[in-house]
Amino acid sequence: MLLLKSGFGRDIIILLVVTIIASTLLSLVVGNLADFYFGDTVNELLGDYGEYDLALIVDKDLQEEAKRQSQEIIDTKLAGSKLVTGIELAGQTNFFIKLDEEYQNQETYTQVNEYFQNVPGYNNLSLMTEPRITVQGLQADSGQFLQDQVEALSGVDFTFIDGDKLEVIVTDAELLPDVQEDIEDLMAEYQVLTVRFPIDQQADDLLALGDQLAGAVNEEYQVEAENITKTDFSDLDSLVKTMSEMKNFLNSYATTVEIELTDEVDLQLGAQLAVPAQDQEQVMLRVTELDGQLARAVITSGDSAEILGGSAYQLEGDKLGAKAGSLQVSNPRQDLAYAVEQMSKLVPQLDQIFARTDNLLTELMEVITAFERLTETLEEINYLTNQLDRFGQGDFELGQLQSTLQSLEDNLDNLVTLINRLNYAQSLIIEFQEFLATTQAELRAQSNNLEPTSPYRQQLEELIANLAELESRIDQNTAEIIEVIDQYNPLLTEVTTWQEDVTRVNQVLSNLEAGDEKRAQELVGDLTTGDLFTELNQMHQQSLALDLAELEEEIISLQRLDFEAIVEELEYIQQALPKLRDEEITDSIDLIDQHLAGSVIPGAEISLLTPAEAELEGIEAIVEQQLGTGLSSYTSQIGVINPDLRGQIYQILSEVKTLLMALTAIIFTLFSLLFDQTLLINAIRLIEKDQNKKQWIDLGSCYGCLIGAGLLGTTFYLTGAEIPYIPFYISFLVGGILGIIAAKKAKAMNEISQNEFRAGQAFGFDHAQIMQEIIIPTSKPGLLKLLNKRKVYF
Amino acid sequence: MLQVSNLTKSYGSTQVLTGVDFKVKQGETVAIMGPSGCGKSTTIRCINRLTEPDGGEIIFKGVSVLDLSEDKLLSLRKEIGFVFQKFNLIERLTVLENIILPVVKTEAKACQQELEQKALQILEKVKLADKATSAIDQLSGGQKQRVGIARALIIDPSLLLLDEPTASLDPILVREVLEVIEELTALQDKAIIIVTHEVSFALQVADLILLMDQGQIVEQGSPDEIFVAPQSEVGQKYKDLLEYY
Repeated sequence: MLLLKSGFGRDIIILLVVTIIASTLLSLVVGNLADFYFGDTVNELLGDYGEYDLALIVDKDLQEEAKRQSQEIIDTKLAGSKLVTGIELAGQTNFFIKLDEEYQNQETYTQVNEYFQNVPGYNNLSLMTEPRITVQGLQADSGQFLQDQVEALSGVDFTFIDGDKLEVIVTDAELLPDVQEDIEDLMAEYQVLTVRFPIDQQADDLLALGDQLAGAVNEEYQVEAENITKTDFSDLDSLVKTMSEMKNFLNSYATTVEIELTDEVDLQLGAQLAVPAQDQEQVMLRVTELDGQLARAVITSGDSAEILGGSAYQLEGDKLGAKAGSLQVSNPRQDLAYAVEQMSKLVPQLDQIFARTDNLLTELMEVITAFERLTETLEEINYLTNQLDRFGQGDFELGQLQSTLQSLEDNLDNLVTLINRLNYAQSLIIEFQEFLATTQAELRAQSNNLEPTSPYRQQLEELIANLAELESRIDQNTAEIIEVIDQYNPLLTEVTTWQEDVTRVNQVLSNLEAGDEKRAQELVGDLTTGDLFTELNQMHQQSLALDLAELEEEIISLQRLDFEAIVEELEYIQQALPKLRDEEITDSIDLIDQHLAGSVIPGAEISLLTPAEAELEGIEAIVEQQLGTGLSSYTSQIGVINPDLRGQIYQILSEVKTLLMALTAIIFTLFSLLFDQTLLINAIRLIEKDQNKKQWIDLGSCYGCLIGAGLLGTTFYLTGAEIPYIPFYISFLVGGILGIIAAKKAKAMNEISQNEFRAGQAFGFDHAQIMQEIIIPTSKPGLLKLLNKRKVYF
Repeated sequence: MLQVSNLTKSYGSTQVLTGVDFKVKQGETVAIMGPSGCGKSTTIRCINRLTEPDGGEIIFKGVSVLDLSEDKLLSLRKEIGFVFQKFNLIERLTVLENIILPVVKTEAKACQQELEQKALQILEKVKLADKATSAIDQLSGGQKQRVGIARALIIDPSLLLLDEPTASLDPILVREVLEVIEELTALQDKAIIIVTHEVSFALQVADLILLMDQGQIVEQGSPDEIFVAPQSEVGQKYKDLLEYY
């Protein structure tokens, strides 16, 4: 190339050197500015390397109180440690804590989270201690196993487990690479075999199953497999359980439709049926169970309240087809509402039971008292009767006789009253027993409306049982009373007659004159009725073996059941039930099923730690043999080493820096190519063309490619610029491509006036002079023009 | 002063010049005429090797031009003034700077004042003294060509080559250029070779006329010889043209 051979070659070299220097300096400045800026930001965020051990993040609004309480905690539990207020970011404030050396140990780090978790506005407590290596994603309970071995490594100060992470505090930053390598080697010795149960299959005792599988693996592969199955539930596990429970809950209250299929119909699971509904609409059913001629279905469109008629039909297009069968709709939500309503009515009835029971108890007590008084009265009557007998034998005094008769009259009056009271008690008992029987029957009916598993149904059943027991006890205890009362009733008439006779005799005696003892003796003789006395005497010898204590106990146990509270709870459930239509409940259940069946939600799992070299071929068969079918199994690493946060950030910053430098170098090179080198490319092409020789290749493009590659590659080399994941030598390729692009655009960017070039030739200028005096001064601004300024005459 | 012998030139397969021979004496004015594309401009461009000939010989002041090294060729060009058909002025420079430019690299900077003085004198000759500081784009076509002539004169050339100096001009502006050239032809210290289609101008100023056709000189002689008793078909056409006017 004649241009390079001319004196202008020196100018080109100077231009290249200056361009490379400028590109390098600019790239370095941009890269380092970014580095300084982001580095400062990181330091503000995280402090200097190893400066702090913990970062307490609290809500900004509560930072003052949080700081005060944190300081108190530090003073009491971490004395000598320092608390520093950090930056505020996104409504949160950071407090940095530098632990006193005394507390830089496993025990403190394991407990420190508990110290601060009640600080007002507490959000998080992050570990910042450096140098540190974090092993994260520890499978199952492999952390403890790994911890023991890592602690034994050289350079490890101490370790502690934080969730699924093992934090390894290293004694010296320089030892980080060695310790990390040792941990990697250690982890490479093991693998974790995970056996996962289907989402809808819950294993009862995972630990035992894990031991069982470990034993089988040990035997089959002759390796030391350790059961590291994790038994505590993660948030995800809890979510799965909640969703499962939610599904059960919705299922409990979802309307079910039973269809007695006609003989002609042939249905498959999942088949769609239609039921005529209000407003000429259709309620759609999906068959979920088939049991001979009985199909069960759920409502997929519409609501059971809209159903008209009692038949389900097959679909022909979007119209009703042949009748599929007769349907029976069961809406547990409506049943519950009915049960609540009915049971509400029972509340006063039960109150009445309690009141009546109290009353009955009182009455029964009165009966016992009455029997005692009856005994006394009978004895008194017996005594008085003997007195009358003596009067009848002439040995009496009228005044004394009258007094005796008056007492007899009073006692007989008492006796009648008592017998009447016993009769009242008897009727009360019979009526109460009937009432108890009726109440039990009504409660039984309501209980049947509730789900068998419902706790409220269980309480109702208990109430019914108690009422039955009460009825039984009353029956047992009052049977004797009723028998006794029944014996007294026939005598009641006689006693009443006798009472009337005594009253009448007493009235006559009061009118007798003194000395008329004979007449009085006759009258008294008429009063003595030996049979009645004999019968009464026989009866009062009986004792009433009433055990009222037992009855009282039953009443108390009945009152322990707060029936009103049960009704209130049921009303609450009724209110709390989702206000969903049947189709919405079915949709919700379907949606939960889809989520539960999704692979994103793991089921219960068993984990075994085995040597990495163990080739677990055929493990699926062993899993199936030991634990059943439908389980999936896979092996994975024990954990992953996670560079510390600062290291990651600095790594990213470093990449950002080199990327920015690379971008700057590329942009600068492109500008240099377009503004400076395109002129030289055009000059080369013009001069070569002037030689009137056949051009096999475009020397301008070759020059552009070489210069582009040289400029960019050298700049990359000098600055250390890098594009992530792209090797260094690619920079030469990129530069070359940019050079070719520049060569293609050369004419448009920096066209040279051929007339002026010819003029220069005619002046006797060499190529360098033509470039310096004529071509470059009229070119686009750039380094070439800048450097040429000192050489141009005009 | 100049002897061109058997000059040949081709562009690819197209033979542009074939055995061109002529001689130019000091103080002589030679007009090269002929139809367009006959090789006139190529011939005079070959003289200072703005176009590299394929063969033949060019002897200038006893030196074989085609054998000159690059450096000496550049030196030779500094002795031969060249006026382009399209002026080829440097647009960014003023009139005065355009005229001085060819010599700035050869004269010491201390002499810039002298160079400017000399340039102004030449501008006087081409009747553009008042345009010394003007920008090129402020000039008319005729003025630009006169600046081109002045630029060629700054080196005091012993040979002045003019490649169709009026071809790019309006007819009205042609005259002012021809007048300047006519004055130059009166100078006896330099030879002039002018490629032109101006028959009357050639008749008036040329000492020798070379008629070219298809890359060859088909006839050469004094204007009287050529235009009175032409030997070639081209010459006859020029004679007819002259008679027509």
